[in-house]
Amino acid sequence: MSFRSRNSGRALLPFGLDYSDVLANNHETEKPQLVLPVHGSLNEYEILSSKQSIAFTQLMVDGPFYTGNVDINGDKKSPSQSNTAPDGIARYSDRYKKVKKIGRSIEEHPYQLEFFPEELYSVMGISNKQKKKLLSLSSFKSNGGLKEYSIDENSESDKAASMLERLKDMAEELDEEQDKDDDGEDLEEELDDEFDEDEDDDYNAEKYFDDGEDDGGNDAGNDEAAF
Amino acid sequence: MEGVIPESYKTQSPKSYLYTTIAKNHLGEVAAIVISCLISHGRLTSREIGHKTKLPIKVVKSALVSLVQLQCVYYWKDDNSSQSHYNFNENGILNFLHSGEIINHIKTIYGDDYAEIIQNVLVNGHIKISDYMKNIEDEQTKLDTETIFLRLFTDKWLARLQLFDFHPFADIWNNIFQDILKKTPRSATTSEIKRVTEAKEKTKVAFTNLLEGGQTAKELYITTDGYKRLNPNLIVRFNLSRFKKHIRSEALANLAKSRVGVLSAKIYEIALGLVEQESPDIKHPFLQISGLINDPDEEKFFINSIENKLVEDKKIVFTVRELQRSLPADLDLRNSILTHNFLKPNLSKKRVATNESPESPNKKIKLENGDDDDDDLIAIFNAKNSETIEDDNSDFHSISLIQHHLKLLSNGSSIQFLIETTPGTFTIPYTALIKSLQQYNFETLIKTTLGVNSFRVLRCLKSQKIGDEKSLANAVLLKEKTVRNEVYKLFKANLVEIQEVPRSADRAASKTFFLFRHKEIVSYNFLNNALIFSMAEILTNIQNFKEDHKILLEKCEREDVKGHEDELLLESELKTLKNLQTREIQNIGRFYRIKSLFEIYSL
Repeated sequence: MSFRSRNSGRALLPFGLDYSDVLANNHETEKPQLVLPVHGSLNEYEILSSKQSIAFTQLMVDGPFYTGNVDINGDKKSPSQSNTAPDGIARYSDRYKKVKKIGRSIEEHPYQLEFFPEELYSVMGISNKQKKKLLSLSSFKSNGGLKEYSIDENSESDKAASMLERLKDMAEELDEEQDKDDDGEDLEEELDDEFDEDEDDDYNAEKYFDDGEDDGGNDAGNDEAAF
Repeated sequence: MEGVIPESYKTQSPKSYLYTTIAKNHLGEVAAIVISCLISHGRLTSREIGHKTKLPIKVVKSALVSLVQLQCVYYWKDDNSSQSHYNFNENGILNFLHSGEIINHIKTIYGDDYAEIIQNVLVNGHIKISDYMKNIEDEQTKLDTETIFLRLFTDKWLARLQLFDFHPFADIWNNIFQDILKKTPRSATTSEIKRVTEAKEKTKVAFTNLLEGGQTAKELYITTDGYKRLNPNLIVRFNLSRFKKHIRSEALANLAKSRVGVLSAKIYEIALGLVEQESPDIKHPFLQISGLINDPDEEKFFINSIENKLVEDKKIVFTVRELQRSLPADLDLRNSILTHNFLKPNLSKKRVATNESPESPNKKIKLENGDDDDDDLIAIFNAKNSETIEDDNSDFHSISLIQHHLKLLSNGSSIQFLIETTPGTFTIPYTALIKSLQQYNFETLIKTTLGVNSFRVLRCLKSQKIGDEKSLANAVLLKEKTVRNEVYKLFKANLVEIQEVPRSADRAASKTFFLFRHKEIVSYNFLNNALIFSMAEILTNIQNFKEDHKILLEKCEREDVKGHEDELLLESELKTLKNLQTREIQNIGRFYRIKSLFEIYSL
């Protein structure tokens, strides 16, 4: 949008109209034009409703009718039933992840078949087996069952303790690195020594030449001819 | 589409955005893809859904089983077709939307056990009572649970699930109509229009009988060992329309609180609770069938006739005595309204010679409650003789005090909250009240967001119906420039329509003037869409900030970490988790606040 100044003679507006209203608006910032009322803090009823909503969402996600996420890594685009991460890399921590079972057959949930179209019967695993079918029921928790974190946010000792932990971790890491370096040097020295010894032993020509310095000096053997 | 939720779910409509986000959060991506596809295309077979979403047919059918179970889709199968067609049904998603409030409300009125049953019914979509009982071993607990089921069913929080709950009303209507039309022969004496009208009337009767059928005592209850129980073979679902009636009552009570007073609103809330169960549905099934009732006047007449019938049958009528019995024990109405009786001194006190005047005239002071609008609260205020103790004030819930409060509610302000049908008997005019509710909430919103001047301009425009700048400036008593600015603000917020009126044949701009008009329905729809979009945005923001801390949240989900967070997680991690939890609770609280405004404009 270009704004022409009032004094430019190029803009010939019809009689009665001018740019004053448009120019009066401040278009420099992207701030919202409306000042909306500020939210007050939630009251007890609202907090409980929110907690129940969060708990209900979790129940649905863990429940029998969760349809899962689309697994785009596999050849078949099917909801992922394994506990491998979406990137497809198997990790040690996967053994601790909960495997979500997607879909329930009629043997696992007591469907009321009269309310379902017949074409869905195949997916529901309609069979003649008479297994006991139980509803998966949840218990009610008045505060939603959310974990309560008792953290004293203003406690300086906590802050100090967490700082201390972090410093300890850093120090341990440093020590580990140093130890690794030391071990590395020792190994090198040993290797050098070995190599040195080997080199000295193998290529030390002098060891093959005995110049007689170590002989005790045998004066009695003087009657032999010397070369 | 490549088996992912298409981006168009956000843009095609705010409802599509909200419903798809809720489905994704509660049921997973696959359900969200299917729902998004059904919202886009309307009615599809399972094969078509698979084709459009690029999901395997088995996955689609598996998702449809979940969606049918939770009443998130309708299906319909023609007699001459082997395939079923699926439509989106918003009732299931609305159950998820209101879930937190539903469970909390039931817990507040009835208790934890009742809330647990409602929670389980919502999680499972629908439940057969005998299947529920199979999970309970203890006989006493079984009996208690049956009693709870009976109470919830009698109070209409649970309803019987029937086959027509899974079919779209339009298809059921069409089916019945075609059958009746075939059975109504053409004759020379009656015209085709008359024949069709006759068939329509017969269809209405048959349709109503179908919806109201299956509610006989024989089908619902059994009597064993002398006490009444629900039939164990009964299949029940949560009755969302009952909860919507509660939402309406809450909104009306809040309106009374803001316009009349806290105590009067409390009495009004209890009065609403007395008739809530039998109050008219938010939307009658006939109004959900498109093309059946087209004319707005006919629609108004139809809605009023339903309400009048309920009043005649004394279903939404209460007496003062009934209200008195239902008032809570801790509600103290003494001194809440000073009546003319206060001014009559007691006989005993008359004997005491005093220098004060024996009787003072009744001083009525009109109080303005600080608002700029025209409504005043008339409070009867006595400057003297406040020490007089009357019979009215000896009882917490005296009949006369209650009657005065009810009079205040019916005549005290510009909104008629109650209508006195016969002396001592009152009814609630729901249809008229909904209009006032929406209007007053809308005006308060304009006042607080756009400013007092905008509100004045809008009010004047509404009274004038259509006006130009000059007439508006004269009516509202503001400068023309200010009026122009305010109208521009209202226009930007889509509250005002502009009509260009050219005065010359060549439509020259200099000879054109503009007329402004405010249409309520258009404004309300726009506001509703904005609110729905905001709600969906809040849910998306929650997912986004959870995604930012994905690694930590996955760590907490591990089987070895669950239950041992205090030992295995760092202090900083626990703090982060607490902050995340607080943030989520705050956001859901705000979500519910926006939802309460959205509910008013969905009534």
